[in-house]
Amino acid sequence: MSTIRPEAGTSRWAVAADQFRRWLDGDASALDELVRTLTPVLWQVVRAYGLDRHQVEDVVQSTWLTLVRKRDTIADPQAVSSWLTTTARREAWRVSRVSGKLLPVEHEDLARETEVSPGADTNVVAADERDRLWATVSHLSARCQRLLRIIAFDDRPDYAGIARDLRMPVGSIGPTRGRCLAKLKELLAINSGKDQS
Amino acid sequence: MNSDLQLTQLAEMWEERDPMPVDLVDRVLVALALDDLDAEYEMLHLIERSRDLVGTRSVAEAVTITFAAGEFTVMLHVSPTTPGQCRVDGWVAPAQPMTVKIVQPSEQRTVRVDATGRFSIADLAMGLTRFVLETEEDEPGRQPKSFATPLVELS
Repeated sequence: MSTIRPEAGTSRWAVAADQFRRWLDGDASALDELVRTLTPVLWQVVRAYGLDRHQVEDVVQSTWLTLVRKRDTIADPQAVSSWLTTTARREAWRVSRVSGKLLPVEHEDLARETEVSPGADTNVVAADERDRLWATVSHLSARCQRLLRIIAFDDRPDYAGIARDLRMPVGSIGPTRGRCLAKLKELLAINSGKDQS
Repeated sequence: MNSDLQLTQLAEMWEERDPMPVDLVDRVLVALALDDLDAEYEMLHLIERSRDLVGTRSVAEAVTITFAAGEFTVMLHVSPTTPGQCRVDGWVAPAQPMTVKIVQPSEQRTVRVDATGRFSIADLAMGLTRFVLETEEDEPGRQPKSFATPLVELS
C-alpha cells in the first residue's frame, strides 16, 4: 500500500496537464475543460477540511482565480493538479482557522487517534460494499478521515503542507496513513464478520 | 475488498456520497469571466452565511453574508423585495471612505460607503454577484486598496 496511485486518477492528472498546456499555448477553451476536469477533485480536497458547502464553493472559486492570475509562476505544467490541490488546501486551512474549524492540537499518542472501538452502533447492515465502506469510514477519527480524503484526491501529496494543516509532525503522516487504512480494514472485517453470523 | 482496499475505492466512494454541487463548474466559469485581471485586489473570504429568522412565513427570508481579509470586514444583509429583486445593506469595518462596485453578468454599478461604513443598494437583481470595494486616497501619496468578494448567489 505504500505507492498507491489512483488508476482512474492517473489519467485525470494527465488530462489536466494537457489541458493546462493547451491553455498556456493560447487555447481559451482549454481552461473551461481544465475547470471541468479538476473542480470535482478540489471540492473533495476542500470538503476534507470540515468547511460548510458555501465555504467550500468560495475556496474552490478563489483557487481558480488564483490559478489564472499566477499561471506564469507554475514552472512545471505537468504539476498543475498538485499546484491546484496545494493552493486549495492552503486556502481551506486558512478559512478553517478563521471560522474555528481547526482540528485540536495533538496531545496524545498518535496511535490512540486510530483506536476506534466498533461498538453496537457500528453494526453496519450494508446493502452493498460501498454502503459498508461509507458507514465504516465515518467511525474513523476526524483526523484519519481528513488525511485519507486529502491523499486519495492528490496526484503528488505534499506531506509537509498536509502535516501543518493536520497539526502533526511531518514524519508521522506516512505511518498515520498506514494506521488509518489498517484500522479501516479491521473495522470492515469486524462488520463483515457480524453480517455473516 | 478488505484485503485489497485501495485509496481509489475511497475516492470513488466520496465522489459518489458527497459530490460537488451540479452548478459549481458553471459558477467557477462565470467567476473567471467576471474577473478583472488588470485589477490588483485582495480576495475577501467568506466567514459566515446565515438566514435570518423572520416572524411570518409569507415574508421571504433575508440572508446575512460576512466576508473578511485580515482586519477588513464587510457584512452584507440581503433582503428580498419584489420577485427577482433584493435590497442589499452593507457595512464595512473599519469604517472608511470607499466605493463599492457591484458586478453582475448583465450589469455593473457603483455606490459609495458613507462615513459610518454603511452602503445600500435598494433594487438589485438577484443572482450571481461580485462586490469589489476600493478605498479612497484619504492621504496624499497613499495608494488605494481594493478588496473583492468571490462570486456570491444573492437569493
